[in-house]
Amino acid sequence: MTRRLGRAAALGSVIWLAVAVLAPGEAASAPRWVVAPESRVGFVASQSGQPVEAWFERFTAEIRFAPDDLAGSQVSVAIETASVNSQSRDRDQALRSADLFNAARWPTARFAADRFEAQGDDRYEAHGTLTLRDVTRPVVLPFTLTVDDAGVARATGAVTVNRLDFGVGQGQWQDTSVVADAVEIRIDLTARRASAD
Amino acid sequence: MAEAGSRYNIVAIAFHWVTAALIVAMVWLGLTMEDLPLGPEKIETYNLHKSIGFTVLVLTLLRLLWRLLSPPPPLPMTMPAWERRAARASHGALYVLLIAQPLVGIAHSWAAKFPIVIYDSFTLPVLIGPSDSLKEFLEGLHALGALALILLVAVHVAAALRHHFLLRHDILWRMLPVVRRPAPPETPR
Repeated sequence: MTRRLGRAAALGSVIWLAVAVLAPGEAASAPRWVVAPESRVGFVASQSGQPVEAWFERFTAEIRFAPDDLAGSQVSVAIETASVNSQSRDRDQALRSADLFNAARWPTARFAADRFEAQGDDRYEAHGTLTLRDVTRPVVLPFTLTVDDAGVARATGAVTVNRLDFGVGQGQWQDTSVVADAVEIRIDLTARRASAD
Repeated sequence: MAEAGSRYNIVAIAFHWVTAALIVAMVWLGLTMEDLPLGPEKIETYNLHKSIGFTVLVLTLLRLLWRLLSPPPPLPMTMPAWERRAARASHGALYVLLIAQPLVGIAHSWAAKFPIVIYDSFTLPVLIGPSDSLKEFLEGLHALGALALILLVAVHVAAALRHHFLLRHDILWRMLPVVRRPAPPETPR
């Protein structure tokens, strides 16, 4: 009995391995882009009804994208939350603190998308997940992409999330009457084609 | 020493005491709010401080306008010249501080890149961009202004009480709402 099970397991493993190695899978085939330093990843929060803007000074992005190869397109952004800059040292310190980003414990926020839909007129939707603190949730980021004659691409997009869904707001920061729950995440990326894949 | 018809009018009296009450509130808020932990409560307390400060600014400007239209009663002629100069100087300094302090506060919020939301109703426009160095400087200036205001108010109160209790002038009577100086009893000749 055990010998038959053993042989079945071995055969199953071989088949699984073969499928994993030989199948086309979800390899990102679209060309790679390199994000330029003037790019911006940030957000706009509402404090006492007034917009307060912030961005992250340090982030990395792995982008493979082509409008005619959406299936082979993939985006992965890693954001250093401690690099938040809202042009106020007090506010930045609060943002990094344990009750908001907790940058010490969860230093990296991530956005990853591997499904794209064309909406026409240079508009697209990136379907993926957003990770803030220790929470990962699905998110759809609509964006507009234009490529100029020099081959420089510009992608701008925004998506509104609720900060409490990600635990950004513990203790007294659970109160949303002063800083609203809804926060708009904004991206403005300038990218050039990578010279070699 | 009774000088008939030398009272402040009711509008001036209202301006005076409302401002006095708001200054007390502002000093108390200003002294306690910095130590609050940064959170929604601190933001709301700062917003209240800014709202009341803006109110003091507007009231003081309106008060100056009223003073032009309806000048205050002259100082008692029995007051020596140096005292009258001191009174005018300290009142002038109070007006300057009541206008300068809110303006410094407003500039500080601009430099600190915090919105100035007045009574949760409207926001003041922003005229300058954020600057850490300017913010630090204005913080020092605002604290200095607060200290000067507190000292000046102390002198102002002490002088009023001196005139009232020691010198028995009309000074304080003229600024008190409702109550009037009782007429002196008839003295037999």
